[in-house]
Amino acid sequence: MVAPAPVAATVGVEEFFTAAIGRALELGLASPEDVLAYATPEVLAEHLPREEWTKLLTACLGAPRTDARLVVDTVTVPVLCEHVPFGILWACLAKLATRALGRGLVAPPPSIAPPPSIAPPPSIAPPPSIAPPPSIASPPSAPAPSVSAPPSPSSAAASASVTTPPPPPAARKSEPVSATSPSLVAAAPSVPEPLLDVDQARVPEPAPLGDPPSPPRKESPGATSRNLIGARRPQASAPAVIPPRKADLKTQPPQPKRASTATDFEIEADLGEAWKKAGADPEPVDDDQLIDWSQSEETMTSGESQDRKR
Amino acid sequence: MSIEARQRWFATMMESGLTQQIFAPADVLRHATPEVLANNLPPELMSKVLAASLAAGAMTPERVLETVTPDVMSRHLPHEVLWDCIAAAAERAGIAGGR
Repeated sequence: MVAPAPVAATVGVEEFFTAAIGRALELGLASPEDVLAYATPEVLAEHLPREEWTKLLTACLGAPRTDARLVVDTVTVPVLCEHVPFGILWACLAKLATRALGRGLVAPPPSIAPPPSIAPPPSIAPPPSIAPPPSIASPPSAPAPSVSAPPSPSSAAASASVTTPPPPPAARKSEPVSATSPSLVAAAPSVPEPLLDVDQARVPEPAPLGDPPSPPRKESPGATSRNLIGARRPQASAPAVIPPRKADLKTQPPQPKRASTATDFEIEADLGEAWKKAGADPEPVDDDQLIDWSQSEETMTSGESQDRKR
Repeated sequence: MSIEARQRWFATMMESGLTQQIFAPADVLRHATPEVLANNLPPELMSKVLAASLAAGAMTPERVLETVTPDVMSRHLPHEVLWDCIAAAAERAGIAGGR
């Protein structure tokens, strides 16, 4: 027995819409604004009877605030479904269903994917050219440019929440040692590259150099060579770091020195082995070659005891 | 938007649609096909449907829906299927296009 579905009496349809929309409002799946987005004032003016308008106007005048909820509560869903065209009610219901089924959320996912790959890099690149001077004076000033960059890459407003996470990964890359302060981490990457230009602008800002020195030294073991150089330059005394740079600027002369140092190191290693071998096989020594340490004042801590031992 | 709220909402719409004869049990089974039912209903419900049909001597849409109630449908069947059923009925009744 298959009932004839197409019959669908008007009353039945109204009841259906009343149940569907009313239940959606009860369950929080729909808001009065959703209903009034379709049952607009123009629609209501055209289809609601005068007595319903009288009630609505009275309620609106008596209420401190007029909003969609007041309209829906006053007119009531059954009355709306009784007078508003089914096509409009259906459009409203279809929108609610589309939203409930997640079909309307097709756009957001794509916005989520790109931010991580796009947002961080641009934020890191621009700061160096702009931030150099401030980064030396005070680390906290550098993070500002990096923060301003993330929001811009994401075109959609919804993706703004997603763009915020990206900065941390960038910071993680820049700062391997300390993850406690992201702002300081963000400042670190901006410091290194601008330093070349900073050296020229370094004279007018001698005072702030006192504080920065310590953090860069902490980063030096794990950080890249650029980070190390950038961090030490601000310091007044950084002889170990500056010479290599001067050498690099002067180009060729220092390079041979590096080669020689490598060989020297090998020689030292050989000497060490030779010394060990010498200790294993003592060579004969004449008495003239021996030194009487007891006569030297520097080594006489307890001369008597040594004499006794001899 | 919680899943429970959406389930209750679809249960209400299916219940109202059937009660108001906007669509019939047969219309529901055109969308909630045997394949859909078999892939989504738990075994105990499948067993119950079969047992009821065997006891009655026939498996009709009405009898299936006696077991697979709107509440059960909203809990186990994909809501997209239920909405397609509602939308098809609305279109068939001329609701979607206007009064």
